[in-house]
Amino acid sequence: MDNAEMGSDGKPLPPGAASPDQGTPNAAGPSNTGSAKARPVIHAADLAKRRRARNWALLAVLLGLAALFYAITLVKLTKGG
Amino acid sequence: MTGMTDSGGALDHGSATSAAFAPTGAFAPNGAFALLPESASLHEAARFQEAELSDWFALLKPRVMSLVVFTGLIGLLVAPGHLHPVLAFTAVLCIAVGAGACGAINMWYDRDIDALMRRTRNRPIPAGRIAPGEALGFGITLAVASVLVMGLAVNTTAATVLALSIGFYVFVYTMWLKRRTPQNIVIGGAAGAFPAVIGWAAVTGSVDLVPLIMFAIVFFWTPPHFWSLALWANDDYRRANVPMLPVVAGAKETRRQIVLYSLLLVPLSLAPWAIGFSGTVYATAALALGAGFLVCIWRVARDRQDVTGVSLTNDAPARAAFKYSIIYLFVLFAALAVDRLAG
Repeated sequence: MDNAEMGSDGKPLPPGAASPDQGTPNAAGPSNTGSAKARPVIHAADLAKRRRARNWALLAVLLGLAALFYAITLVKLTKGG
Repeated sequence: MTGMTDSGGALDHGSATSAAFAPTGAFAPNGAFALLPESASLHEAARFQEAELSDWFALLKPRVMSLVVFTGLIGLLVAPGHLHPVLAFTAVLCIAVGAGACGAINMWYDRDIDALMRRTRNRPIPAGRIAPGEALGFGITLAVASVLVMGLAVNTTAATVLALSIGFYVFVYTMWLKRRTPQNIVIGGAAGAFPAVIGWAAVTGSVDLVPLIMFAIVFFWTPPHFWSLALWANDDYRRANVPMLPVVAGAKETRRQIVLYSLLLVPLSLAPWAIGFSGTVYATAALALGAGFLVCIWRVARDRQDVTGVSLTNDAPARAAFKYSIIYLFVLFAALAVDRLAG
């Protein structure tokens, strides 16, 4: 995180994002500016952790939906019978 | 959501994908991965990696969603008839997901003005944590799914009203009115008034006078609620060039309109009792809450102000009215449900 511009929440601000002192997004982006200030620095371990959390959440959503559709089917069949 | 997982492997040490992307970035000794400026596509992927679960949840505007779920639940509870608990849960879930979809699509469309307003510039899209296209795809997927499930599991009337409310919020409020007229939230408020009707329709399969009264209550509650907020968030809206009433017509006129809508709201809140749908518990609650609401609004109208109507008290009465308006609607609808369930 050493070289990243920090946002108000402590996260590194990616290029294109409005920094608190800018007010408006930086439309130029990293490929145009090439400044070290605009480059994000990302921890691989942190990314893996985030990805794992998202995958677990997605699994939970899918399992929840499967359970919900199962329950709806049971209710519909019972009502139909 | 696919891009989120596809791009993830790029930054895993020792994986095949990591080797493929190695020339476009560099690992620092402390384990950080720095992107080189020329790797634009990888940069996009990495930027997307910034998103956390909380960012995706924030796209759904959870605070708005909670009010929408609550009014939808009340519509469902007070409706005559019976709905199986599983189907009732499904109906409420569809209302919540539909509302969340509206939030995501709204944030996608308003990302330019969100970046300009202090209150909204740290939202996931203007902060650069979620790509706009992904937010739009997320919103559309949720909208379609909520309407389909509502139609298949509950009934077509509820699904139709849900689809109508999503369309109204996205096309009429967000895309058409919000940036064009100071009456944006008056007409746009209708979108927030739909959930009670959807809840009722989920149970009965039809739309009756009572859900329309509940619709009207939320409709007339919305202007005093939002304009109270707009009075003290005036600078934000001006900076973003959003024609909220205080920006266009000034604080004096806004206070006048708040009073007018509040004077309409309080008698209207007694309508469920007047048509014999609810009893004295609700009527008493509506009267007490209405009296409190009018006191708050009176304080807003009598706020110390300069000749142009700008508050000299940092809009303290408007802030108090905004907070009270949220409590007002929650307690009013809760009283309606208690009255119906107890009676």
